[in-house]
Amino acid sequence: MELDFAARQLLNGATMSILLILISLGLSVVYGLMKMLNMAHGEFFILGAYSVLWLTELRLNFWLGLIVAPVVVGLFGLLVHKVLAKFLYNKPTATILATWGLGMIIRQTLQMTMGPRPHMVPSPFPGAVYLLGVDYPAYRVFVIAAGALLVLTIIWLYLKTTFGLQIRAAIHNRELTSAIGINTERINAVSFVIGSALAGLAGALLSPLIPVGPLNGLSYLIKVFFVIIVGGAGSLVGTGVGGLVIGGGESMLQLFLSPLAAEIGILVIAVVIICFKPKGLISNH
Amino acid sequence: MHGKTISRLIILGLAAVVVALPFVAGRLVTELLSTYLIFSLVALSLDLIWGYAGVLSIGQFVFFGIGAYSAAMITTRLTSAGAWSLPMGYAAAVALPALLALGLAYVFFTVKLDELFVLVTIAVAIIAEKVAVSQTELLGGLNGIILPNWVVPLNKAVFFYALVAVIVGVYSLSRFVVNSPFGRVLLGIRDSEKRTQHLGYDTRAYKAAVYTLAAAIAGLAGGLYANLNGFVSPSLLGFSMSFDAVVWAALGGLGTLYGPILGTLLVSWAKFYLSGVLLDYWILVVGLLFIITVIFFPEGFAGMFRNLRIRLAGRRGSGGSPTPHRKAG
Repeated sequence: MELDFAARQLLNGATMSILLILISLGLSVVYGLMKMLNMAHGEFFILGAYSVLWLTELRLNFWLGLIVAPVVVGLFGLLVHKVLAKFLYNKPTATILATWGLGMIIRQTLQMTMGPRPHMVPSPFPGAVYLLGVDYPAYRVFVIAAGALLVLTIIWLYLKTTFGLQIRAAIHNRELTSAIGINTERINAVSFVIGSALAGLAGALLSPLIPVGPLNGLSYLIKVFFVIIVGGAGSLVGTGVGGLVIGGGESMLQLFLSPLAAEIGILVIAVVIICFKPKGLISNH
Repeated sequence: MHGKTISRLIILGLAAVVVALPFVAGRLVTELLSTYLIFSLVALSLDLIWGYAGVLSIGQFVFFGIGAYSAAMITTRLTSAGAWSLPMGYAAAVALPALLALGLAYVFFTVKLDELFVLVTIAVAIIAEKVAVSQTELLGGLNGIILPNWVVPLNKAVFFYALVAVIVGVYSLSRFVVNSPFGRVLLGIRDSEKRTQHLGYDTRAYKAAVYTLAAAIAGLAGGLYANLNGFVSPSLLGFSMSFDAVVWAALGGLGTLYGPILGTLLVSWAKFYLSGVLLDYWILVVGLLFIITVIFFPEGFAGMFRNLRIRLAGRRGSGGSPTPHRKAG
């Protein structure tokens, strides 16, 4: 019995970690680049889930949603960036507040158009898979696999492509990068769009597993921030570590504590880690 | 007209409104206004640390909640103390948040957190709310705590007057603090902590002191809330209300002390007055106004008000110079 539960928690931890990493990657890069903590990132996530909801209500394919969601949210991110970026550049407090206002507006609009109660997105394939000695929902396994694949792809792109190199350069030393002729403005914009799109994709992937309501984005927001801060902003490895700590940590804590206590526990641990290592566990510069 | 005369007229006008209000407006409105005034104390406390010392904390309602819960727990459990449990509740409502604030300040200001401090305050707010929800035997869980019947005042008008007196007192105290040399150092910390440190000030101590004061004020507000409403619940503690306080304070105008009070009253009042579809749109408007204010008008309503007053007072610019306020960020 115990082993069953432990195995399940391990798998849940893996799901949560992968998802958090996926959502956080974009934000981490954006934070490293622009010191911009997007308080509406949780809303981008839930908008992805809503996109899938809308598609399924139009009787369209769930898998189409996985493509449409990141595009929709990415475009929305582009719009937001174009409007807000120049006012918020290098003003961390104003950014937190203004993006919080943006989040308020998105939540309120969602509530007005979709209603306050959460909707459910039907799971695209039911059934379970026998893994680690337990029957684990097949869709969740898919999420873990797809998520891991995506994360690895992003990391590969970040480390191996020219554009990825430009992003890393800009994070490391913006002025110098700009001085050698690289358009750092464009890097900011593209990174923000990709980050938003990833959040939207994560929302789409997760949509059959969570209640999709206007307020559900918020709970992911704080976790994501802690993933970045604990892991180390601007560093992908850091984000990975952060995701494992926060996502995996909470699931592991649930082995000994109630879910609520586990949530509290992981937050406390995160705060303690931040106090000792404000630059994150893996600090770049 | 002379700036000072305008100020005196405003104060007289306000006093008249306060005295007349319970009779003109009726019980419900008086009680609601009392609640909003209590919330405005939290916004005021936020102004002290944010507007004057430059320390943004999105967790002031944690102290409010602790104050409210302390008052609730003491009045419900210390039945042997009879009517004395209420003043004791108030004492705890002020002292406990202050102690917590001192402890948190000691830890968080020692570590080089800078912008991360905001996130940590958010975390504390979330943790506090979750703890309150989880502790069902001790803290009433999701249902909260209901205070004994005798605590809730029957005469709302009298409570209202007492509340206004308390607010005037807290405001005066805050005004005294920010105008004092201590307050000057706070402004220095806000504008450049490093420079203030180089001048020889222990900025950590100053920040801790003002943070504790702000916590005490928020805690007092919590006690008042428990007293007036007879009921406390976990939603009072959380991150959502704490962000509300930030919105109220920012819209009202930081660095003025009266701005956040105005902001709280205006936003809360509108929320109550408008309802249905209008309310939905109002929340959108608030969100938009907030974004615009934070970016373009860090002075908020109070700032616009002040600029108007300066213009009315003529080119001499009398009526006291406004506390110069840097753009948020």
